[in-house]
Amino acid sequence: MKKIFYLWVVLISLVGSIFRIINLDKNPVHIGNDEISIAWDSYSIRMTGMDEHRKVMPLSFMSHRVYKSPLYIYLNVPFNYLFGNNEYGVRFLSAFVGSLAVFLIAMVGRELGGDKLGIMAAFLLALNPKSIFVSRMAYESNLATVVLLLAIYFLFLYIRKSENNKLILSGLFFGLSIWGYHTQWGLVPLLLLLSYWYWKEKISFRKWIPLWIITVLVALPIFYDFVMVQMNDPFNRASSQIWFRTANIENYWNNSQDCLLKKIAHVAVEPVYNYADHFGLDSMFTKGMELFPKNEVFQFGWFLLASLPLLIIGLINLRKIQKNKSRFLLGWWLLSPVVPALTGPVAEVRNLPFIAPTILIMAIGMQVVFEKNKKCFWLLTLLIGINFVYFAIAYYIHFPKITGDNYQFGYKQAFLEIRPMIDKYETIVVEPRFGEFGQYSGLPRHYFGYWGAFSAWEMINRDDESNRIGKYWIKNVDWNKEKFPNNNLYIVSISNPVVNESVKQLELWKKIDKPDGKTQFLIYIPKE
Amino acid sequence: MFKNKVVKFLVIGLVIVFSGYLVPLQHEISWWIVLMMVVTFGLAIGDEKYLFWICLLFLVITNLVINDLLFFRLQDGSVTFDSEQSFWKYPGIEESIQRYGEEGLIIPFRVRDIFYSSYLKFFVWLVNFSKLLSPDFWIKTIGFAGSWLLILGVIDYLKDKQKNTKFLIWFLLILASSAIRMIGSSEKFIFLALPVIFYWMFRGSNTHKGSKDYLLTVGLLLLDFLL
Repeated sequence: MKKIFYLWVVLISLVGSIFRIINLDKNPVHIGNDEISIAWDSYSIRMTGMDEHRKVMPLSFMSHRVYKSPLYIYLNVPFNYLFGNNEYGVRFLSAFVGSLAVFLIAMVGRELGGDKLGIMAAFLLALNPKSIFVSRMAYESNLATVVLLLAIYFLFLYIRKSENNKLILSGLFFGLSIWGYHTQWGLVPLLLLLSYWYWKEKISFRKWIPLWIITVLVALPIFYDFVMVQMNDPFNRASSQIWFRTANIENYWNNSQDCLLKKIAHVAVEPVYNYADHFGLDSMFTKGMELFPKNEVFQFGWFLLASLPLLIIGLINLRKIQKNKSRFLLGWWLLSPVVPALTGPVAEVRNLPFIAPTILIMAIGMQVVFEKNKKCFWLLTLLIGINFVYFAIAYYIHFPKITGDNYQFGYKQAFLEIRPMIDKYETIVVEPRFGEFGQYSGLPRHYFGYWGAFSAWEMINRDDESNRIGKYWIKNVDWNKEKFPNNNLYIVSISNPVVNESVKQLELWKKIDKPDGKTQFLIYIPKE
Repeated sequence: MFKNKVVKFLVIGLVIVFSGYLVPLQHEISWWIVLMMVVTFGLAIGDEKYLFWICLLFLVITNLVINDLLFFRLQDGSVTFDSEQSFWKYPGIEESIQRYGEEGLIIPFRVRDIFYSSYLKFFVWLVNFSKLLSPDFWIKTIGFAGSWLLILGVIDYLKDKQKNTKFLIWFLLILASSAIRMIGSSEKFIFLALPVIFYWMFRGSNTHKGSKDYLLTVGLLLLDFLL
């Protein structure tokens, strides 16, 4: 039975990894905003040991004052070395751990309720739309979620076997998950409390202490760094993410005529609305992914709609598994959205730890159906398969065509176009604005650097005031003020075509079109 | 205070529903429609099966009218349906299916016909429907205390092997017909569902948990009033 279990799980994990790795360089169509920061920092650490702000081996990466968690960036260094500066060099780690998660959830499921439960959990996670989506992008949250899953797996092993090395590994991974993403800062202590609470009769208080100490010791540098960041940069973006400091709530608080008591109540209940939002049928099953614009026919939730009955059956039958484990699983499920709810409604990645317990509950439901009615089981499996085919068509075929702006499409393509003739020009001017009306602001510095325009050292030694790195000048162009003393090449937004006197001096050399056919950037060169 | 069921009904049910969330909507719906629906509901849950189905038909028509989808003009006796506000004819949806069909060229022609047809519009309806079943929608519509009792009541109702499924059908049909509308407020349908909501909340307040933790209900009620 053991061999069959591993055979199934490895097979399912391989299938899951295909969905996560196939066309990784083409879908999503361009490295996204958060991804490019991670990509650059990882590359910069590899080449210089510093981030772009000259911090040596930082514990949080300042980036655009968001102070990113460090785990992904450091673990990505070997992958960046292996694949180089391209999509695989930043996304592969996420795809790899996303595939590993399929195997891991099978192991956790097996600990919860046996081989069948493990296999079914692996099957459901392998086809999970949200897991596939986040595994195909460089998200720190995805890595942190998998590390957390490892910690829980070793915790279950410790509870079953009482081997101290399992406890140490569990503590190590709990601590590391805090290095992985901010959600885990709050979730890990809650899960540790929960596990103690449910197994305090089986495992004495004294035996839990090493787990807590290891977790705290591993996580301590991160919290120390957090305190230092708050002292040195109190208005950083990360600290404005808590719900009562968001623009909406601050606006309400400052401008509303309501009495103080009502204001306090209004602000205090906001996280409750956010929390409820995570359990909404719409966000879970019909539109939470927000892959396509509103009111489009293709909408998908975090989970396949066909798996909804499994969740209901699983919740009703939680008692089928051991009492403490079922309580822990339910607690894990209910606690996962607590920290994200303190920051806002359902967001793209903050609530990824929610996926694993939901899948495990669904797997319990699937096992119950399997044991009670085989026909019904196969029918549900078929429906899940059909549902997945719809998701796959939408995601792999249509999604790349409509999402250019979301991923700052065009910077890579523009650089690759001009690369053969860079030497001909003295200055390359690149606009950070993009979009039909120039309404977005991008990160050309990082994109151009990552694709080879300049080295990590040049980035570190840049002059922030002039926005120049080597021959690259990042600025929004005002054609009325632009002078052409030098031999310049311009990459500007479609919203800012050349006008007035400049028309006489420049010619349009190339247009950079998005996958939907709309133009994103215009490249101008001096007239011969 | 909560021992007497009638008092419970009046104090908890009525106060919760009118604790502030539905008050703004009261101006948008005539009192006689609500009264008419209560009477219809009374007829529907009776023993006569045919009456139940007639009442459901009437319910759907009324719901479409209050959702501004169906219009009756008494002057000339005409009946019009604003299909452009419904998921079936909402501007852009048909075009998007066509566009997707053209984009999906790598799929064989015959298979493409299966994937890209008008039935995809059903998913748009499904999104609307699931939104109406989500907890955050209900908290924002009938408050924390109302939602708490409603959840208790629904669980108790679903567990009941002798349950009268007419309540569930009534409720789901209202949600299903409300989900036809694409944009605009759809909360008005709550007034049509009031009899069922009252029933479930009343049931919820009579459950073991509802009776034992009535202070929690009162606390949530105070919070609702405050908000």
